[in-house]
Amino acid sequence: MTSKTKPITVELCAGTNCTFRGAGNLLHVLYSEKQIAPYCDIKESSCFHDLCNHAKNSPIVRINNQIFTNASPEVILDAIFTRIDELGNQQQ
Amino acid sequence: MSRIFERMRGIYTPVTDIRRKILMEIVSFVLEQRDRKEIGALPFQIIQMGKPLYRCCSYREVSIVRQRIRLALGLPLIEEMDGRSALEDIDSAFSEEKVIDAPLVQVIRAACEKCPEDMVIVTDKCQACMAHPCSIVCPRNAISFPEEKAYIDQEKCIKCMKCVEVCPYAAITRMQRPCAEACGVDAIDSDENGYARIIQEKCVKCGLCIVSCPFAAISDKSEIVQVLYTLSNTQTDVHAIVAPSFVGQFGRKVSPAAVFEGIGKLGFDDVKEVAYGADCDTELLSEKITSIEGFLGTSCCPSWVMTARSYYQEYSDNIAESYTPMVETAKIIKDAQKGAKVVFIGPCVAKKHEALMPEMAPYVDHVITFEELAALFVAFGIDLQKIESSETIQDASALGRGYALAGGVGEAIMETARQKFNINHISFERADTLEDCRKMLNRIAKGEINPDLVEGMACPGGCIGGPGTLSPLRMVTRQVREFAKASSHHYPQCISGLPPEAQQ
Repeated sequence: MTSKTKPITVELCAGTNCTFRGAGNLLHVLYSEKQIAPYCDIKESSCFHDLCNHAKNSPIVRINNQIFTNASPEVILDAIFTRIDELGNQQQ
Repeated sequence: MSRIFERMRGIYTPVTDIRRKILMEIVSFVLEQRDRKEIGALPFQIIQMGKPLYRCCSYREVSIVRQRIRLALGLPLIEEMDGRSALEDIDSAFSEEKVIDAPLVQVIRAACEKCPEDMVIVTDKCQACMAHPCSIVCPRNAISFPEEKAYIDQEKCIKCMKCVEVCPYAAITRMQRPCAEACGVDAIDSDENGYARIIQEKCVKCGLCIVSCPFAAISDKSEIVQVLYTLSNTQTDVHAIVAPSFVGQFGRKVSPAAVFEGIGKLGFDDVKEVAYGADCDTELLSEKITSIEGFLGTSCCPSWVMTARSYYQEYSDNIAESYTPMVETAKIIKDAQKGAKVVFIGPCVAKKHEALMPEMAPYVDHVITFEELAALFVAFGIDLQKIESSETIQDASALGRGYALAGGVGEAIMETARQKFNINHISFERADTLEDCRKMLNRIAKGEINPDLVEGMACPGGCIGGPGTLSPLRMVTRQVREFAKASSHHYPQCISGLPPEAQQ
């Protein structure tokens, strides 16, 4: 992999609220999904200005500039794969 | 195939989520000092009426949540099935006194889906094929073809799995009740109505059924409310003692020191590593191994100790009599300071049970899990990631900190025996999960293995795989190892009941 930045940035809140509602498990899922690694920068971020509303909307994920609340692995992974597919289409 | 708790491990399911939501709501309820009469409103903050997510209707969901709230308050279960409201007589929960009692782990029947205990079933993939090897290999002639697919006579079937192995369409499968599959001591059967039932005399409170039931029908009791009341009493000093597996539970970017500081912010007057008590046990056991006949069994996991003692009475004397690291650590505090209160924070349900034992009760006032601790952080609005602590924790040795991992206890004892007593040849056997622990003891009984030292742990992977943990195993393992390396001393330093700072 070159040092060039990857096209998709996934920021996952690793604050205590989001961790309590499954952020750690989600992070583990993202790191385990080897197919997305060449396209994604996965970052653990600090709390997104209490977007989670005291953990009620946790976990919070931001993919490029789009915010996802109550982020579950199936939604986040699908969103990432959709973006990867779009990148492929653009190149053709 | 991997076992139930391994298949579901690390996946954040609605079962986990509802447990945590209830804890969160209860802590907020107490912190906001809401009128106790309003507790009836809590279930409606968790369940949305008219939109049942997991059950036949939201009324049933609400009823189950009421029963779960009762257990989370630490009170004896009232099942609404029996015609009483689960939220009556709750006043005793709102106190710093201990309210939880046996049985600690229970089935909420309204939530139990009565899944089949254990049967081999034919799925729709069956083509009733010409070859039908399934019926040919069946040693009990239990398979026939009355209609379009194979039929297994459950009276005859002995679950030998031969048909499952030979089916060309992989159409036959074994269906086991997840709670019973998770139970390593065969403590779950069915009552007369088909609901799962925990045989309390056999249950060793490991808690794996709680996290394995796909319908969240099994729950333990929580002391979270009593801990809140204990903390609010400014007259007493409250000490938190934290199990070695705490490292990494709150995310990779949260240092152990930040966790300790966060616990302090909750109102605890002091925080100490239970790995210190582990050091005391290491010293004791590494000396004991020089003199014992037969093998020496570790004593830190209460579920393993209960299993070994009740299933293999002939080995009762082989299991070390020492206190667990929890009690060793609590004892130091209580001996030094009369009137202090001790709250153990760990990954473990069995420790809640251990602290109920009359012999241990004077040392440990309350026990909560990491999951319950996290609910406190969330309700208090404490974000551990924002805490930048420059403190270093030096309560325990590297070997003591390794107690969190399967194999860590044995390693600590062997290394210490080598260093202190020059014993180099210790043959070591270990097992994690009670099913494997029993297999190991069986092999010892048959003479197939002949170890000097035996380590047993109830949870898969050791304490870091406990039912009260938050983080996936692999992430935690790395951080536990790093924290162990950061200790100022490799070998245990436990000097007759004095805490490390008093020795200097």
